[in-house]
Amino acid sequence: MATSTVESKRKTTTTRNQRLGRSRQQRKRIGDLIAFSLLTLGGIAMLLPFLWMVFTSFKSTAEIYSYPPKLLPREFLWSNYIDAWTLLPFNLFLRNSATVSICVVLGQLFTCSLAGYSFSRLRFPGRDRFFFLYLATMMIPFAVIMIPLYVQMRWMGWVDTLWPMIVPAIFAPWGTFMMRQFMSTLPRELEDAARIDGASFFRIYRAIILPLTKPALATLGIFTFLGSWNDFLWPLIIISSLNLKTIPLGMQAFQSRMPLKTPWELVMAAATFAILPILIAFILGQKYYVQGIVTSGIKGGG
Amino acid sequence: MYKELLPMNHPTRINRRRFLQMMTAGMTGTALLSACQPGAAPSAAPDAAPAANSGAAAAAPRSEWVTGNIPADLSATFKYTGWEGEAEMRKWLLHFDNFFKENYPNVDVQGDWGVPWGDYWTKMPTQLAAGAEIDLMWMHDSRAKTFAANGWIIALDDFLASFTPPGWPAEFYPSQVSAFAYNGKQYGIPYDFASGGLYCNLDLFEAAGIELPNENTTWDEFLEIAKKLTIKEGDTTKQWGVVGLPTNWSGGAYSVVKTFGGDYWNADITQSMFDNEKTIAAFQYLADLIWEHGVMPTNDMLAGMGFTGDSGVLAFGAGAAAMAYSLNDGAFVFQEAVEGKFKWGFAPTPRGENQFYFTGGSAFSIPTSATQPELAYELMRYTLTNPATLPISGKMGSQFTGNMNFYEFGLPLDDWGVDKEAFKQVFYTLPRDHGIAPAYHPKYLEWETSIFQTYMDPLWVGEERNAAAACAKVHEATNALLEG
Repeated sequence: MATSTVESKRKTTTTRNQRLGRSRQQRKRIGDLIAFSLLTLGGIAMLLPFLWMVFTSFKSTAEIYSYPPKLLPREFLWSNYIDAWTLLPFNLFLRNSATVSICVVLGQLFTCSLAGYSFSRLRFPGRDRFFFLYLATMMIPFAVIMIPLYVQMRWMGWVDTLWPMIVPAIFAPWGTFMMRQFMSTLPRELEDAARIDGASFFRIYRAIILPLTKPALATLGIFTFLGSWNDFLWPLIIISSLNLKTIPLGMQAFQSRMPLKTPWELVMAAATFAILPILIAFILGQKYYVQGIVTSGIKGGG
Repeated sequence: MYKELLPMNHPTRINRRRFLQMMTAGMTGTALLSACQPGAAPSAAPDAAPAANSGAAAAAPRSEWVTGNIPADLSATFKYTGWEGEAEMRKWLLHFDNFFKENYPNVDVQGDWGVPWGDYWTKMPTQLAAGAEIDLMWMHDSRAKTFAANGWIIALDDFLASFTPPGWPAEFYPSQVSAFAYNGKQYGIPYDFASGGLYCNLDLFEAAGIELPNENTTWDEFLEIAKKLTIKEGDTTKQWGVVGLPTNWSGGAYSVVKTFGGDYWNADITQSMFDNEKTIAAFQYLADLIWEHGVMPTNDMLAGMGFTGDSGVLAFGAGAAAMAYSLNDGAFVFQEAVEGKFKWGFAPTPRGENQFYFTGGSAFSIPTSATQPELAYELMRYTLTNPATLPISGKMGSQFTGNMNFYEFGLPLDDWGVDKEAFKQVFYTLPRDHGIAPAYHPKYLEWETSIFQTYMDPLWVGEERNAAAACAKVHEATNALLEG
């Protein structure tokens, strides 16, 4: 009797658990469905402007201004891309943007990793104060420093060259902060072992620290590349020659060539050109990008 | 490979010391040989043309367009910056090219043109405040006094007195000459003249049996005309009486306020006049056109009809608006928008107790940090006041030239099929005689963005229907700004 009671209790519990389990599964499925639906809608909303840009780049002027507006062009005008490339020296814009962005990325990867390692591992008087002072410079808006920066560039004879877009950008407090935070999470034992083996500061930095900070370096590289590629205000002020303009300035030039009627189809074609390197960089470094953001935010302190 | 088999002390086997000795000897020999080359010959050929020119220039009289103070063989860099695009730059590039080839062939001219309007006014103050070596810049009447007050551009009075341009200032539009003057000094030579007027769909006027507005048409009469030309179907307006009268554009709205007898501020620009009943009446009239009488749409209303972008032009070109307000250079855009679909003409904006028409324009100015100010002035004088260049500028540009006597080159083309005399009357004669440029001052730009547009915009989007309430806010903020 007691056995049957226990068994029936067990059966009741099992049935209840099964029911609970099924309802939990159902709730999870409904939750997943809602989440995926929202994410899909959000994804479409994010994707639509890009799609519009790409399809508009294939339209004629009349189609662009037609009402109601249509997403797909009646005919794919590939000549728009040829015109966008040849109307202005787009190859030079691309070269200048690439030169500046690559130099800034390489420069920042070196300076920020070195500075981050120094701030996280070296002990010297005023280390933390210097670090916070360095970070505090992030609060100064660019508009405040652009005139003194221009004066400095003029004094150095760098006005209307690519140097002002590269050299000042090589030093980035935000990048140093990110590298410092990431390097703080690395075990000290590795360095201690290397030091015991006689490795110098730079040997430890190069052989041990850098390989371990690849995700953070990739993240920094992508952010820096994006920022440098899309930079508009400083190049606008410092560059006058057409053949030294970067892509954002070059695309503005499309509108200024025909002040009464902007060739939007060519602007969209140029925008598609401009966005391709960023897309490629992001796709290649996506894994490290996500990993770097997640990992660098976990632990702090030195 | 065979050298690997030779002993180390073999004569043909070169060690490091021997290699360095040979290199040093070679370089020394090369340096000696190059020093023995006959001098000046390499530069003889390139210098021949300029030398001949300077020789010729020394013998022949210099052009009437140069002062003679600057040597003809000047070798320097001349930089200029402007916002105009390729279409408008063609004439300037032509004139600049001719001027420098004829007078200063060794000067390296570097232009940064086509800078978009908004970016130009970010770039220029930054560059000029930092002492950028720009010799000539495009200037607009809305910014001239700000730049002059900040010491970013130089006064031209000494140049104008010692090397006066032909026809200066009598042959230049008075409103534009004064627009580029500040504290009694001249800071720019105007290169164009823009005026406001109405473009009219003559077919719609004919169908409605209405006469075109003329210079004696009052704002009340204009309202009646606009009402008769507005066609509604239920709640939907199929045809608007007028589009594009200046509302949130303070410069254009100023001429409307002046016709009503009002003003933005007093004569010495120390007190706001947005509490003046005539000023308020002008803004109330414009707001009522939209919200009370429904004869003028907002841009949103036009977008709802499918007219986006240049909505007023598109609406007029599609026959959805009987009248459209625009500047004289708008004729080129309207010509393309209409494309022969209907007959179109021109009419002046109405008058109130006063008769005023919007005028505005641009000029060339010389930055304070210019390295070649006198050369810049010579170029300005040649380009903007030369009877040989002005017709070219008029034909190749979309505006009237700065000199009144060359207006004919800014009239519509014969093949447009429009009444050129009417265009001349509306956009040249009346504005020449009754034109008024907005009362710009050094704080105008700050006032326009932070006060006028902030407090008046609710009137144009329907959040505020009472112009007095909006003007009261502008009045208070303007006084605070002018006192500060």
